[in-house]
Amino acid sequence: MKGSYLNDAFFSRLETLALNLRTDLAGFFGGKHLVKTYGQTVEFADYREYMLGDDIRRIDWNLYSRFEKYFLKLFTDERQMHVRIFLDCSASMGRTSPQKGNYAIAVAAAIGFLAVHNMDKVSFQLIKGDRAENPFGTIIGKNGFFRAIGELENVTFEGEADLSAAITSCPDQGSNDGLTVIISDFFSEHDWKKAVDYLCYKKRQVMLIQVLTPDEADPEYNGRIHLVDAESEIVDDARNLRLRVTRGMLDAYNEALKDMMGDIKSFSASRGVDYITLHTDKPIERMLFGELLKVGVMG
Amino acid sequence: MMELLLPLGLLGLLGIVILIIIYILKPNYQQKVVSSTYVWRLSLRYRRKRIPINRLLSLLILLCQILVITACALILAHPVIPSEEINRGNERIVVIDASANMLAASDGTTRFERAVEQARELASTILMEPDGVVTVILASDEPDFLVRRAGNDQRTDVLEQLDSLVSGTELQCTYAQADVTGAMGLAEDILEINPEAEVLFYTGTSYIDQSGVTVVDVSQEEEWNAAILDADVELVDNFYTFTVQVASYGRNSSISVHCDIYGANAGNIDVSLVYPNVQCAMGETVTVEIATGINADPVNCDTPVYAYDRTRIYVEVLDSADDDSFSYDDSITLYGGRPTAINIQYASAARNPFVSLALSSLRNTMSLRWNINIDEVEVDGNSTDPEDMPKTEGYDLYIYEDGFDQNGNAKTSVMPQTMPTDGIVILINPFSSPVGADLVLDRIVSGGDVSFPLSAAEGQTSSILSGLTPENIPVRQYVRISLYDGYEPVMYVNGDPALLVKDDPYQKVAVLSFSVNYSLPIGADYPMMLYNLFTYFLPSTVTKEYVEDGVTVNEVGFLFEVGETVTLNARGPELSLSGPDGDALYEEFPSTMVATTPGIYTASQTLLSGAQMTDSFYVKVAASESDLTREEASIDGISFPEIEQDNDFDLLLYLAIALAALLFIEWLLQIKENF
Repeated sequence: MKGSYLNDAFFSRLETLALNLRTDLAGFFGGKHLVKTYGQTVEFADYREYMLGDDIRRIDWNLYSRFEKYFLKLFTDERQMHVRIFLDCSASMGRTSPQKGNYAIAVAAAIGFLAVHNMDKVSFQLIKGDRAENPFGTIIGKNGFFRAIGELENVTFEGEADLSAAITSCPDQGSNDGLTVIISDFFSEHDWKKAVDYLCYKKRQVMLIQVLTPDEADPEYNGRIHLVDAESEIVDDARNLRLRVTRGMLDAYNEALKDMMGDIKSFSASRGVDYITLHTDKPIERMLFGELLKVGVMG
Repeated sequence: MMELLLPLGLLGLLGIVILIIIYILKPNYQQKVVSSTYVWRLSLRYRRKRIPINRLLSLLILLCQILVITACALILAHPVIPSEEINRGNERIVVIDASANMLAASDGTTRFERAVEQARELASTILMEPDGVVTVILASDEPDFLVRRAGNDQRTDVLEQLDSLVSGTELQCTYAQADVTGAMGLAEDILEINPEAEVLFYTGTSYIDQSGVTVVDVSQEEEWNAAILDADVELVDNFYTFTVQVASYGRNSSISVHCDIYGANAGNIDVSLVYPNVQCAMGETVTVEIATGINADPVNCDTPVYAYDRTRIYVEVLDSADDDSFSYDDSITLYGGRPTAINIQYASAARNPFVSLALSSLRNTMSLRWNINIDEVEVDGNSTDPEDMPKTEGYDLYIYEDGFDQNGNAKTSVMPQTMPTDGIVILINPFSSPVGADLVLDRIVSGGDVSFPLSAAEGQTSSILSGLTPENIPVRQYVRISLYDGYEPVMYVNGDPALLVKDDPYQKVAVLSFSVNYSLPIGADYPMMLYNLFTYFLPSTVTKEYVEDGVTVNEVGFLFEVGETVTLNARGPELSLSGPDGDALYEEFPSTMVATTPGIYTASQTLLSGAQMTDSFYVKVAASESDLTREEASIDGISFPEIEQDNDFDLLLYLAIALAALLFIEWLLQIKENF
């Protein structure tokens, strides 16, 4: 794909970073994410009194000599996280602006790299229409990751995307096992908020990444414009507009966009969801390292 | 109403059609594919409430653009508002000649009537048109507008004004010469307003160079005129000879010149003389002399005439039974054939030869005008016979002079007890003041061998000083006059009045405070002073003034031309004048009048003595008016100004301003709409 951000230099800068998870994790496989449960690591966590059935090899005899009671020594546990990245593959994400698609793919790849780099599992869910496709399966390890990325760059952005339907109908949602990232422009009539609620119900940590091109953030054209929606199939589609774009109209657009982003932000805050907006005219490194670090997802 | 100088410029209005087509065919919308119109659709909620305003703005912009195109088209068409004063194309300036020759009649109508009739027809036709304008100027001796730029709505008034020229008992034509130049000046005033107006001059005079004026000839071929152009009379060998200039215009004529003399030789004799068979070639002036002093062919006068009351000179056409076309120059009456009698009494204690000689000289000099009788009375003081005493009544002029004997002793005063009231009084060197003289005498002032020079009173412009140098009259002795109420000092000697004059309507007195007997040496100034006093108190009733060699001459006149100024004087308090112009009363002298009608004028006045005195004179039409076939070189006083458009009120500037304003408004609306 032309203008791809994915190269060695890009990934090498990510190697020093890791994903932070605020929620607890369930699961069986060890990883690098500390959990509230006690496990078999070497890092001391706490003591508790001996109970019948406990392994007597874990009794701390030094404490017994002091208190003449049996105490067990507890150690922390670390689990593996499953990062699910939902990428909006509708036409609005890349048909008119390939840079926007590349940008979205780069963001997805960056987060996926952080996951595999921290020995987490990652899966890319490509939302097309009302369903989410997982063409690469669950990826563990960098080898699988890079294979997937190579193909991810060839993703085409077309048609519509119903985030809510696609996410809620996704069979591999998992529960309380990691981070879900939704990358989209959120320019949709469909109620994507249901999907977020659903993920929260599944105790997933959710992060919304909105990708905007400069034309979308601050349109500069004016005059009599026939705005053709990239997702429309026919000219007479109701989404297509004939507008006399004036300065007042642009102000109204900016006001509408600002209100929309504010709505997303307040919704996210109410659900404990992270929300960042990325502008494709800004360097992707600055956006990732800045915005992700700011919300604390990356550390 | 606005006019368009370049109407084709309105084709620019097609731009409006083009503009509308452009609006219709305008590329509707530029297609732009965007990732999503979702936000745009959201923004419509914020924008929807402004849509009606936007539509209004669009309409206003379209309206402005249409107005801009209209303004451009109008600028191309060069609109102007014609001056309201200008009504081009259908305006006529009618100038009607009102000179005397327009009274020449043929077929029962005069030239003037024909001119008015034709002008009336023209005015009637022109003023039928909505844009018709007519000006009528009457070219008399004092030309004036009869009608000034009358339009269609004033048609009735114009026709009434024209009718008034020929209605009534007398035509409104003058007997004077027309001031054509002045009339054309008035026409030029109208031409300055409308240079395209046509000037028509209705006249019987033909012009070689018509100077752009349309001359309408109102003369007729059958018109002719046998005329007396001028007449004069002079004494030849003490008998009168009449010189008459006659001419015939329009054809050759054979005429006889009649000379009827009334009151010949101071009696009731009437003498009728005829100069027969004067052959007048057309247009040539013939001078005939009718001498009364010799009995010779062809006049054969049996009675030599040395005086007459009046003489009527007229012409008789011999070769035609019809009268000529112009009758106002067929006769002339001459006056002045009998001098008026003036009785003078000169009373003195010792006859002063200077005064006597001056009076004799005066009598001889003015013998043609005045028949002066001088009675000299010398009072020796010994006689008591009233017949030997100076009179105080019965004379036109009283002169009283006191004097000294050879030893220097004052002789008996000859001053009258009471001032005469029926004549003019001159007191010379008075030793006493008559009752009614209103003088208070002081004493005799003598310079011995030293003379006192006379000097004119400061600012004095009296005709008494005319031709006189007071300093040339030395005075060695005079009577000091201390009070002189009602007198005007004319000359002073040694600071005291030397000549006092009282010129009241009922008392005319001159007082000389010195005697010329004691004022040697003496030149012509003293007789000149007496002459001036005589003419001052006894002026000719009718005089004409003219300038000859730069000098204004005022001489008695008996024959004037119409329009000529007549100067009137009176010896009494008032003078009445009757003549063809009517009667008039004059109370201040000298007065002037301008005769406007030919004929005999008679001036009547009551003298101080209560006697009635009449003087007559004749006013004739100008000789040039007798020539009915007159041809002038050119019409002067008119020039046709160039036609300028500057009279129009040009709207270009205002349209340019409106265009700029519209463009600015359109720009503002565009900004407003794009905002």
